[in-house]
Amino acid sequence: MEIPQAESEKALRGSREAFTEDLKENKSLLTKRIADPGLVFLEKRLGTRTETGCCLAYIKDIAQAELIAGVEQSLEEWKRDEIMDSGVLEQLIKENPGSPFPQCQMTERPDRVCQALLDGRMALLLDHSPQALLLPATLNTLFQTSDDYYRSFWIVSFLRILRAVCAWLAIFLPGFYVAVTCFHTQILPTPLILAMAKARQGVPFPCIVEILLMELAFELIREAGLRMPGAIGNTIGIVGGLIIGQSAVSADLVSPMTVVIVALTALGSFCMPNEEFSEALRMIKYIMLFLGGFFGIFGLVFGGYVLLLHLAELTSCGIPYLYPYVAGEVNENKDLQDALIRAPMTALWKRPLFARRRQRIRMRREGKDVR
Amino acid sequence: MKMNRKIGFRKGLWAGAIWILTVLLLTGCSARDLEDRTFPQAMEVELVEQELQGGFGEHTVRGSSLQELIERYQAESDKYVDLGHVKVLVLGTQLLGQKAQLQSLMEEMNAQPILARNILVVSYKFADEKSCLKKLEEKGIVPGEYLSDLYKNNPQYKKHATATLAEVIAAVL
Amino acid sequence: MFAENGKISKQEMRSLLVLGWIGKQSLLFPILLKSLYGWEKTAALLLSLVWIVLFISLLKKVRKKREASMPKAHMYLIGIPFFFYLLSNELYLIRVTARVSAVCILPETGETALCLLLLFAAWMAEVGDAQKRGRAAQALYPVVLIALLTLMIAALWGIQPTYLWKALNGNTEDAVKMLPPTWSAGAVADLIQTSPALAKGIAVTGASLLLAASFAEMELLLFENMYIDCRTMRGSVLRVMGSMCLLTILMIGSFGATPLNRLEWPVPVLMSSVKLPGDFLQRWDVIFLAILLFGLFTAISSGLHGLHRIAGELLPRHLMRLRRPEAAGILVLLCLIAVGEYEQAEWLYLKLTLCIIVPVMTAVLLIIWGMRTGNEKETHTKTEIQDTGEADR
Repeated sequence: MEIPQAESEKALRGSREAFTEDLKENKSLLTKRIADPGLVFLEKRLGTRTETGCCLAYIKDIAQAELIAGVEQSLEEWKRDEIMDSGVLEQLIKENPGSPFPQCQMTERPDRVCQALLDGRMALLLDHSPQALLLPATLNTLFQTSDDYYRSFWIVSFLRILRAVCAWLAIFLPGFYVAVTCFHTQILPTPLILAMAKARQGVPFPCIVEILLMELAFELIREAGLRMPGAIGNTIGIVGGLIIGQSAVSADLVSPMTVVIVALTALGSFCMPNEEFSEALRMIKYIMLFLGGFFGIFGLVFGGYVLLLHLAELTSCGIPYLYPYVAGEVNENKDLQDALIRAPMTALWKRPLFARRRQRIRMRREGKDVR
Repeated sequence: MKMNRKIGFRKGLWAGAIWILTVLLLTGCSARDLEDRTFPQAMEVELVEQELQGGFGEHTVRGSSLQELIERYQAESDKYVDLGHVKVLVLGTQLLGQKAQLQSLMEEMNAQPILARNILVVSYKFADEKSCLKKLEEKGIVPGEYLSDLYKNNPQYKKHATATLAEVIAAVL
Repeated sequence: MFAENGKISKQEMRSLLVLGWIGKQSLLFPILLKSLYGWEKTAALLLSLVWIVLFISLLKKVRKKREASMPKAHMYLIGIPFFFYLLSNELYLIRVTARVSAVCILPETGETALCLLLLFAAWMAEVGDAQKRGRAAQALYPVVLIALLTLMIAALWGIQPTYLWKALNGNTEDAVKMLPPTWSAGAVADLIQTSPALAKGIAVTGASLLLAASFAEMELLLFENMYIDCRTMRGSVLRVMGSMCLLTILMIGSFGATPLNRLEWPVPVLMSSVKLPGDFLQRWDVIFLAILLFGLFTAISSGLHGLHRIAGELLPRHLMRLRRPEAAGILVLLCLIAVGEYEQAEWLYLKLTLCIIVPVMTAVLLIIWGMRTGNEKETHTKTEIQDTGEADR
């Protein structure tokens, strides 16, 4: 089978190969990149009626034994008739099934999986599924792309900060806009407020309803664009956005500022490298919208605090979801070097917390101590 | 253990839903859209016949305190008066000459968190006109913007010492 | 894995303590130091640090006794007044947060709704995993501190040196005016006029004791010895008091000493008067206050945790099923309804709790420590006599 190109995880640099739907081919994509004899593929059969092939990949002397045992136990826990895709498997082995946030990192890129295995993480490959699952997954790993290690640390750090800002925009921007216009107008400069008030003349709906309508319209356009084949799907996205946005403003259904806010929010969510994480953000923004609309910035702080508590409670294979921003001292805060800001490659001599303590050193320099 | 967690999760969801519903019912509709507000950028206060007279440009009202002035002005306005954008405070010379009334006014201003401490304070000698802000508006000028930009951008006015509300409060109290 | 050991690390505990105290003291300390003028406030802050360090040492000594073994009666003697302290502290925190939010950022929103939201957030923090409060605080810690630092740097540009100089010189006339009405016609006014230094000394000492009393939730050290150590507590208090000292100086420089005393909550007012370069936003008070609210949320959730924890120590065995966060939350809710508005909660906390219950708590600790030390000395002396007797034989 021809190796396909990665469609959902595009990168400017690095390999463009993606996994196929054949487990053997996927395993070979990993073995051709990692020559280490310690690379282990633990084979299992999942689904009592489908007997779908599954393998747990890890590097024997790098991955922690407790993590491996934990994942194995999770795989044995559920006896289901069928496991059709890695998405089903992910939902079954999640430690916090009630959370909308992904606790496994889904990827279709072999180079990404190899990078994760060498960090001490594990990968779950499923037959007939082109997506692999990486464990453990933290918030930090979900913000990283595969080419974050192939480019200069300046560019990568800037992009990671941009992604964090985008995440904030995706969750809070609509709620913040409603809070500012309905409760805290003193924040914005007076000329802007007066221009916004003038633009809203004639709009029959309250601000919160306006934003809600446009957000739902955007969701419709997005779903329609996804389900339609090929060129029609792309066209629907462009035409739908232009026509609906422009017509709604001309008909005084919404103000122009609303269209800008909704567009920025959408762009913010699209900038997330992980699709499932982006979907979770898209859902949560509606809660923030209501909180901002009823309680202004107090409501947003309340929502943000409760969201933070939820994220703080999440774990993936026992690792806190917010690692290394919390509990970073366990690995001497070294993992903060590869968090919001990435240190130069020459400074990344240590593996992250996922790896065994004795295998934390990943880089040496001839004649010099990198530490 | 996961079944207990499931039951606990359901209970938590119900509790959360009831709690949020109660809170929403208690909130009322305090949100006001932009088009339902007016954003005065200047405020004037003068002492006339031992009573405060003032306003925000459209008309003037009388009252015994700042709070009463604001309430009476609001009562005559069809939109909500949003004081968060006031940039300039114009005090009449009559008021500036009466220490007790000025002190009382400054006490009230001190207690109003919506008025920023860095708003400019200027004095004006009211002649026959009730409102100097209305006089400026009749010339097509936005009073608050005009006065604050005057002291910020015009070199002739910039060299004159200007006082902020914080400085006036500190001097008077 | 390490995440599931039910423990909070020292860093998480420090974050919890610092954030909670910054949130609480930003609103409380100006009220407690209202009777002082200018630089006296800074002196009171520094003196209160001494009282707090002494209190921590006392707690450390009593904790050692507790680890050895302490009768249940002594635990009740310590626990019951502490429970009342925590309850009134929680009521005050919820009421003051709701009041400040209603006055400064949500003028027409009912305080009741805000109180319910605060209580709900505290319950969310307490239910489930014990570590999530600590982790959330650790994640928020840099955000709140950076915001506080930015506020201080921005406020630095608006300082008037003449206000600071005037505050240094002091003003007896103002000191008399600052007294509550019942006092101004009495002996205290005479004392201020005749011996201003003595009067100032008494006022500073009194205010510093009140301020130190507002940190009495440190007594949790006796019950959560796994998570908190004295060094973490001392470090956290130092950070908080340092920030409050700097804020005091900035507020005196920005408003002047007398107008500062007339403000009920000067910190939000300071936030409204700062301007950041670029004029991107017209006013920053809402943003700064929102970040401060995170500290208040942390303080309120810590308060509910304390109530939940102490209830577990005090409840008899047959009532152990009441040892749930929901029960603590319902108790706080019922007390909020019973106590009424902010003014009543303020009176309960400032007058009753800080002035009566905290001294009682301290006296109980001193007595228990003294009793145990006395008993140990007696036992030690008996042992010495016995040894001498045997040696003589």
